[in-house]
Amino acid sequence: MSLLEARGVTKELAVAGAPPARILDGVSLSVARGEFVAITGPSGSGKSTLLYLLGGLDHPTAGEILLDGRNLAAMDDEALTLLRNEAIGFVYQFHFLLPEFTALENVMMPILAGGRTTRKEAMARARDLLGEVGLADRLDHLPRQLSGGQQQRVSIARALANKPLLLCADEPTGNLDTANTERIVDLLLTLNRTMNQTVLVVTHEGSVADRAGREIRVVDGKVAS
Amino acid sequence: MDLAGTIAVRHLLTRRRQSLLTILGVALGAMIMVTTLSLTDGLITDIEDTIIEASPHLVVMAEEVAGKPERLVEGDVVSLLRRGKRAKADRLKGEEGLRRLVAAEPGVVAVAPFVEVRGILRRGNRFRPIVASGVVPADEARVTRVAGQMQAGRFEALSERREGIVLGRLLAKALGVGTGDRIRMTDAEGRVWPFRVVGVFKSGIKNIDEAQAYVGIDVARDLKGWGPGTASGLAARVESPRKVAEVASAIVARTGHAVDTWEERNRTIIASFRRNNMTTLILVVFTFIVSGFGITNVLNTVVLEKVKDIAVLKGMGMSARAVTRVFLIEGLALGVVGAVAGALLGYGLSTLIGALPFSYGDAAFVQTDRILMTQHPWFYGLVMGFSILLSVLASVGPVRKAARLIPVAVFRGY
Repeated sequence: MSLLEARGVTKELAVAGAPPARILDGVSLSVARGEFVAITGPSGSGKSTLLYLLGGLDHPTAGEILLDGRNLAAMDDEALTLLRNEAIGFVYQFHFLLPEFTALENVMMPILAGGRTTRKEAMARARDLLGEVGLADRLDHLPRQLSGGQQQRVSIARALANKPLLLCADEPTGNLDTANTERIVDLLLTLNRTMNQTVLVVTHEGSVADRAGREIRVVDGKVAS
Repeated sequence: MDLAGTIAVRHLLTRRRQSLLTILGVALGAMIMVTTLSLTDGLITDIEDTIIEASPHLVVMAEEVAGKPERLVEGDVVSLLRRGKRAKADRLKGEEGLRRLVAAEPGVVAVAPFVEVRGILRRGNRFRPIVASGVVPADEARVTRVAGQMQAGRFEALSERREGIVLGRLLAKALGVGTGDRIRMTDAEGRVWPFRVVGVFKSGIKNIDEAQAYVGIDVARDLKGWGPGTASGLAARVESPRKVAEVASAIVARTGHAVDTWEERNRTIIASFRRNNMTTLILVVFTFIVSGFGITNVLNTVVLEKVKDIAVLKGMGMSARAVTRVFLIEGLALGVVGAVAGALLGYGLSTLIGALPFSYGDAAFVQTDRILMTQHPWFYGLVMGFSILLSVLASVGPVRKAARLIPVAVFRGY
């Protein structure tokens, strides 16, 4: 049974003084639990828009998105916010860590936002995760005191904080050099294999897509393969 | 502290300089408001207290209100006092009987007869029109505070020297006389009477200090050609000066004589001071509102700068309510800390102003040597409440902006 399923997902954006622009046009796909899927495609093809829809950050204009049997398209903002906290982790192209908080505090944040555990438990979980991404010695560093690769590893740890069903990554290596790109992809693959973490990665880099278990190519708002 | 509180505090601490400047803005607003409240309330209290102590709380006049009322309610009395025709009379005869009646009225502390004489005081080539009250010094001392307001000489000397006269401070100054000096008074009939200054008093009210004199009651009766037991009226002191109207109504009802109170005599001047105070307070409130824009400014800047952070927080599942709390806490923290600092500064400043020697000069209505600053807990309650309200209102715009922010619109730029 698939963890994630999209059925006829369409996304249109309003354009002032013109008909709506159709970004995605009836996309259907499914992702099994524990899969590592790369979503690829040329710039402007709609791959990031698709990821944000699958990750519950946006509402589709039409179609259904089922995550573990729950239809994201039918949820209101409040329900989606709760679902994102419980079941979805996001990694962005830029780390987007909160600059006033240490690495440890940044990773604790989704746990504290959920309000389901104590601060002490959140701290222990965040400490473990930073250890797993190789930053056990950088817990109290502020984002500006970390390298680009380290910042992205902290953001991966943050995305995993609430043990999400689905990890979404939007061009996670787009801002990194080759060596750091390798490390990040290695890390995502390790998480996928050792923790059976389902991973969806949007990338335009062939080297990343090649290492994924499956590639979904988006062209002109439609799934091409 | 929860996550929203932690983020709010961290935002404020990382923007320390701007936070401090905003707090300073609110604090200055609160300080000015506390000081102004203290000043305006002190001014009106000072004026009322000075007026209350400068002359009798009420005067029972020789005039009688038309048709001696039998049963009156409060509204009727006001109507009679204001519009009722008075039976004209220039003197009370057998004032002792009326004095006993007034003294027996609940709320009346002391009663003293007086004979009012108008004339012109002359010393060399200086002239001043005056109102001289002929009094029994010991009785008058129980009705007004004049005996304790002597700057030179003694009030009781009026009963020791028949030709003694006590002058108001500004009157003595204008005539260039002091205790022991001789002076002459010309009455309405053009007769000249010699006096010797035995004292100078300061009531604190310009109009009194520049035109009021006291002489012995027997001398005043001689000047008027009146016999013993007559008086222009009765001056009385009441237990609660601010409830003088009630006592006055009761006296009118009981005696049928017209009664004048300190409130009636000074209604216009007190109303004018109250109006000025209100204008000042309104101006201060506007000043304070300006400091509220400081909070809006800071929060707007934070929201604009933190657009991506807010998007990330919402993306990771922080509710719109929690995001709202972040910025409300920031606004409230700036407002409350500013208000507390301002209240403390206001307390210090009003205490300092109250301690400094100050005079409005001889031309001022109230003569004083310092500014009376009052302190009431409600000043601080009002300022704190106003600051909190202001900071919440100032936060509304930025808070709504942050709460409505759609994460994907930030990440995708649409």
